[in-house]
Amino acid sequence: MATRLRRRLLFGLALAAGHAAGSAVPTVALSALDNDHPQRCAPIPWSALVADAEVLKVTVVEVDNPHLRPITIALALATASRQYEVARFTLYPPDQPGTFRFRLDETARKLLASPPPPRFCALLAEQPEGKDDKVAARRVRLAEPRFERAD
Amino acid sequence: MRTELDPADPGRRKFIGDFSLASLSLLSLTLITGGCESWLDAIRHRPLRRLIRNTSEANQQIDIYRNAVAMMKALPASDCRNWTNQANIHNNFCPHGNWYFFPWHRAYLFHFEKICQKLTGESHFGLPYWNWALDGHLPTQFWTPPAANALFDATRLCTASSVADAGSVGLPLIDGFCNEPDFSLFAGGAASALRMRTSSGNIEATPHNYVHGSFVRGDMAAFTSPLDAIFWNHHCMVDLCWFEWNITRQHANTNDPAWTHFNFSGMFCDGDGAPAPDMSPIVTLLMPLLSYQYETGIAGTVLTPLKALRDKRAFQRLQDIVKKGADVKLRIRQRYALPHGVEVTVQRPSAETIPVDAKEFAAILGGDAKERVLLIIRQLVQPPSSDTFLRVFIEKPDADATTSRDDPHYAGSFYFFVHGAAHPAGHAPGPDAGDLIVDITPTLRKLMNADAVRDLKGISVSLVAVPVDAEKALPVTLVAAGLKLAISPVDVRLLEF
Repeated sequence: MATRLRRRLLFGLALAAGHAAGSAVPTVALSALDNDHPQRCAPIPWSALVADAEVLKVTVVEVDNPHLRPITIALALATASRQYEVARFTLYPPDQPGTFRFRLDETARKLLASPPPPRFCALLAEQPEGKDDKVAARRVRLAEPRFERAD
Repeated sequence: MRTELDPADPGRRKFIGDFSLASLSLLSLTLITGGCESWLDAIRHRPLRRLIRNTSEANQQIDIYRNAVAMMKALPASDCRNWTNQANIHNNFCPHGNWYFFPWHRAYLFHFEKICQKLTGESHFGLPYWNWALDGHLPTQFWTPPAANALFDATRLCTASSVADAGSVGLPLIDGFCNEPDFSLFAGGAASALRMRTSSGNIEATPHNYVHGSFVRGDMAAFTSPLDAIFWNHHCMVDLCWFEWNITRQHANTNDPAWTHFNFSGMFCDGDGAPAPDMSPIVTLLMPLLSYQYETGIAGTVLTPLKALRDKRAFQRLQDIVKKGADVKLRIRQRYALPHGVEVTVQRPSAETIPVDAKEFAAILGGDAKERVLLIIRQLVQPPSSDTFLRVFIEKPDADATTSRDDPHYAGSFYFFVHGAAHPAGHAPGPDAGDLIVDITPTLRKLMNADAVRDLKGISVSLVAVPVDAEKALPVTLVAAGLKLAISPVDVRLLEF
């Protein structure tokens, strides 16, 4: 499963490329992840990034998952040449939104500090299939991520 | 409105006085003075929670567990210990996505373990734990033989050969989480109610949630997850992660009284099926040291039993870790102070009314819990004469030592442990002063909903001193520099699109 996840993340590199450096980066909110669009990448708006950020904060604001399919979301930073998984989390119960905070490791902090800034990617990870999993729809909406200080 | 730090304080506050620390001091005293060997013996031989593996010792515990589950499933619905009733406790109260996640589940496991002990007659039974960081298979003992195995759950969507993803439960990941120094990142964000989702801690967000919602699934994916017997063994592992983070790796929990003194009353039942006594997060901190023990750490290394209690120095160090807590950085938006000090004796409780802005309080108490009302008892000094409780009642000016803690006006209590003459050298008893903080928001809301608050222009605060042992009590006078009501924001800001 981890291999499949990495493959998906690599596939997302095409989307991730092309992040413009400079101060005029538009705010692009991540929208919904669903079966048809399991991965979204977007530039990180300056408003969401403090200097020397230590923590990534992500909020799932809405979940549509009536059949309670598993929802595990991987979070990554993507540059033109690499994609780096920062964290992953699971919804429990799988139809409950929530806020999740993770400390950025050394690699992630370096990526954020190096121009051009990376893009932020969120991926609905593949899960082992259970009854009705192939046909059941699931959809989550994410708020714009925040890169913050720990305190 | 501007948010600022309280200028009367540089922003860091400590709390003092609680049952656990008193217990720890008492334990310390017992060890040093060499008294009460039977008590120490009971702690030494407290139940051992074993790592689930295919050994005779582990299988013996699993057999007891299987019998206990079968007995609970056979209990009538009128019995609180009935299997479904136990699951409903989780369904009705379990906190997720906030800082009550760890202590609430520790208390839940503690009472469940007591029920297992009582029903099976195995007083030394400890719940075995599934260390998914070492082995991602749901243990074989929970699969076979399905027909006669109370530990089997037919709703699971994983199979006996499924392996949990190391990217969500693997040891390197869990080890990294246990090195996280920040309480809120490890354990969850501040909240003032069990079901208030602020932010999930790392262990909850990733391995805990994954095992529930993405790996085992079926019953485990819902809040009625304790219907699947593996729930309890999964949560023992979650609890072990907290133990490893807090005790083994010596990271401090918060000492915010909104966390330490949150009341889990009315949720659990004891081994006999009667309502369990009140419990707070601060009390749960000592459970792995006094009430049960884990066989190994998260990496599978066998823990030396009671290493920390072997000698005075080791115990002192442990006590310092548990007592420390991370200082609370309180953000105070508004404060209302009583302009004079207060004095409390057992015979003469104090009843004071603090003037407040009625409109503001109505908005806070009628709103969506984004702010809380804290009562700060400033620089309280307690002469070292006798063990005493200080109870706080709101809107009950006639409260006295006979007023029950079940009274709806009750907001919290503090315990002052007096070391007495036997206290070791270097720690001579003497007056101690400090701020005490009580979150009175839940009490005020409860009273508002019951139309028991007559006038919001002033909040009546009663302080009642109650001797722990009325017959042996010496006269006690508690003196505080003042009372203050502080409006403090709860950090529940959601991100914007």
